[in-house]
Amino acid sequence: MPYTLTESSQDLMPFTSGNGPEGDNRWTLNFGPQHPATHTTLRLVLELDGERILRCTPHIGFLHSGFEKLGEHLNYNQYVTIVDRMDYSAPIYNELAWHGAAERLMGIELTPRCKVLRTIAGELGRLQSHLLCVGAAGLDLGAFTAFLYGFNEREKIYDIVEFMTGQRFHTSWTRVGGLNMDLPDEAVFKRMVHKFIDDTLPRAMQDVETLLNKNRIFVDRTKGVGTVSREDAIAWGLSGPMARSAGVARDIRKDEPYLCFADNWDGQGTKAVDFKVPIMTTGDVYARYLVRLEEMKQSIHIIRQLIDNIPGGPVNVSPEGKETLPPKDQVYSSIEGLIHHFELIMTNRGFEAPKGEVYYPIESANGELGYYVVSAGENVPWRVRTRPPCYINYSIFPKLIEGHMISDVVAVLGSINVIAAELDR
Amino acid sequence: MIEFFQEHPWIIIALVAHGAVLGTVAYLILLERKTASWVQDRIGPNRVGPWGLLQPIADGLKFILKEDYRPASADKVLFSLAPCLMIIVIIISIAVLPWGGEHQVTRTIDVTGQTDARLAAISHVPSVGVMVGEPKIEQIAATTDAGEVMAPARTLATVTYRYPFQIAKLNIGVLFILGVLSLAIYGVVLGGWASNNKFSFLGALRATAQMVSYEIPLGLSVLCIVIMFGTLDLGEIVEKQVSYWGHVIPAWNVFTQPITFLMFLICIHAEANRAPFDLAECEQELVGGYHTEYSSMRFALFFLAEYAGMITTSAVCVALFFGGWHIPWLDKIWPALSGGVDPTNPSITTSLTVCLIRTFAFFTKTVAIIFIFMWVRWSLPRFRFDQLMMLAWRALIPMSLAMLMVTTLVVYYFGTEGNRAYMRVGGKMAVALMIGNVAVLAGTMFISKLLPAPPETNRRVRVIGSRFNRTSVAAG
Repeated sequence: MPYTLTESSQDLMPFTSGNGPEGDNRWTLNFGPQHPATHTTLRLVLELDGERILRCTPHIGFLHSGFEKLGEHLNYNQYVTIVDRMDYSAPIYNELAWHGAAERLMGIELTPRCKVLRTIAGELGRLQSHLLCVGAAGLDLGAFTAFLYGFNEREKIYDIVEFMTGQRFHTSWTRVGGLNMDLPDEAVFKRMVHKFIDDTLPRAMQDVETLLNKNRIFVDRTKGVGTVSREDAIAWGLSGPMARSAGVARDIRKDEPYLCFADNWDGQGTKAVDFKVPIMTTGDVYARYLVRLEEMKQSIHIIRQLIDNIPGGPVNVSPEGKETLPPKDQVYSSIEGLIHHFELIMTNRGFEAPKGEVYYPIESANGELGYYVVSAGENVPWRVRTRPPCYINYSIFPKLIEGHMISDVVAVLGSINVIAAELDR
Repeated sequence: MIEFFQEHPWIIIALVAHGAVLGTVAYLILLERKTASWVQDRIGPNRVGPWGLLQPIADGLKFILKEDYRPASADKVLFSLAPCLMIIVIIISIAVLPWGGEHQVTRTIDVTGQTDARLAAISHVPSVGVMVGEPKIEQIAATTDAGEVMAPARTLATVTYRYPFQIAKLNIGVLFILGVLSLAIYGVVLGGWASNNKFSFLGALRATAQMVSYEIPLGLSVLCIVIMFGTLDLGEIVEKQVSYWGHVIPAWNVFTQPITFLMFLICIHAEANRAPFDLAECEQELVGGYHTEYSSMRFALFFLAEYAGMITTSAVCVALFFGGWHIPWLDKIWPALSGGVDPTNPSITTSLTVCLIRTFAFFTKTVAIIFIFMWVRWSLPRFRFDQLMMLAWRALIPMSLAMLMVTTLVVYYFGTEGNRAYMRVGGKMAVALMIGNVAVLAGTMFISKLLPAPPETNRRVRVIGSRFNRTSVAAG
């Protein structure tokens, strides 16, 4: 029997003229994939009535790079260089999530110093991503200046990250059971971070806020645009600022705490770091913008609590565990260290993960970023699955934009902060 | 040769003015980029020449050397015609700008042997000039040392005339500028349509609606000034502002008509298609708007036209509201700056230097207004299309109509009292106008509270047949 279209599958078909009550005067506009405002390579097929959008069909996959498949061929430490490339607005998050998942699979408990450093790096990543998104909120509406104010500060984050990890952007910093390297100089690091969170960043945020928050044009363009209701946010599985701006009080850092967000994280009864989760109920573009601004302030608050109390000790779990590389002096001076080093480095060696499957989510800047790892007991995962916040958040976009105007496309798209590399993987 | 230019001074003025304006355009682009960098904590162009001063030349070279691409499906003729139309219109509109008042010249001409000495003398007055008084004709008999008259005697005519220090002095100058500038819309529409590109087409449609809408409040706010002075001649409007209230405040219209000035400023932003009104070419939505498909020199012409248009509209703004070439307070020290020839007309001067200084002052003021354009562009987000229309039709047009009414009433009641001959707006009238402006502003704010709320433009329109509310379709 030939395949016939049902009524519901017809919805997925591209629009043809004459279909529907107002069908004849619709106009199709290809928005992207090469377009200044689609940030990367998103393609939207808009059906227009004048400037009004009657239907929006997103086409994804222009940046598909087979990241998940690569995970089946690279070992647990190598794959970090790939996950880095997913959400490039804040690469460090992907590393935290990926190695968090690997460590949960292997049952490794990190050292307190490593947890603090990872938490600080994570919050810096959140600032990095939110600076981009808040700035882009202005850029997409034509206020280029706010965008550059945000980008100036991102440069300073890059400087800190470079000092911390040796790389400005795709850091590949984490390793199973610890970090690639400890801080080169703790005092300098503290000074850099303090200067950033106490001086330059608050000033830049003040600039952006005075430029946009009460700007009549900006508020008129964003209030009531792309509204997500609380029910929709839950039903579509939104997370991060998208959900929180719609009144869903969910933050993985509070609900499923990890690293320094859990009580007793250092094994000595230290309380979890203190911060608040900003919630708004209107769910429009303006709410998302404000939620992001407030989250940045909370991130500064978190970093401020941790930066002066970085515990001493090693960053890697004990080298007796097979996963982490031994310190270099051991490699150069003892035969055990040298053998251990080669055992990990050589291509057909390495460590094996236990059989099992595990899901580990963290609260990335855009929402819940999780890795689902299935291990067959080999040195490479059997299957790696990413739960990208952008993909899920972007799925509601056609619904948000329907009935709005062309100009609102960029405003809503910017407020979702879609990172196509993460969306298409 | 010199004789020829003395009799046709407008040729030199036209050459210099157009050269200066088009040269300034190149440097305005540099100024724009520098302004952007000041606003945005950057350094800005500084590679080509000292402080990036040669950047415009590099930009120009780049424009010329780029591939001149035309899409295969574009309309060949109109595609090339559109940018030309844009730039021609802008160049024409420069003609009526009053750069430096009027220059009075006294020349002595040898008219020996002419049958009618008077007519011969008059024939030397430039076509754009006006003769002052009758030419003085005297016979000079050349004599020998012994006192004998040598024949033939020479006839010399001394003729005094004034010519306006501008390309063309039109008595309908304001109308001319409004009319010519509104032709610029054809460049945008044709360019957008001929590109055969959906983004261009949308940009062109937006530009049409926008320019047509904003022309109304623009015209109405200019009309306020025209009513005050009773003339459409830009030069005359400037001339009547060259004075002081209480010997301190320059009698500029910006002080008597601040609301009108603000409305005019908003409208010329919209007319020039500059942010926050740059909907026709907004990069984030329409890629490049009407000039998406343009490249190389054809694009450069659009680009030049935008900046040259800014110069023209800013110059009109200076002429209407900032006293044109008037240099405030300096003419107290140096009275020759504001006339001295005819007490009833301060624009007349006998010195060419004064004319040039005035031109410089006029130009400086114009650049200051252009700086406001740039400052605004790099600070504000842009409107959405419906909000733009709301601003014109719900705010600017009613307010400018109210301003027009108030101005008319004030002119009717105070227009003829106690004014000096060369000054149309006396102290009383100025105060009345100020009160009128405040009243319009207060009234607008009061009435806008009483009016029903504007439609919620950010509202999502319910789409019939939407995938996301199928049940409601069945219901209705």
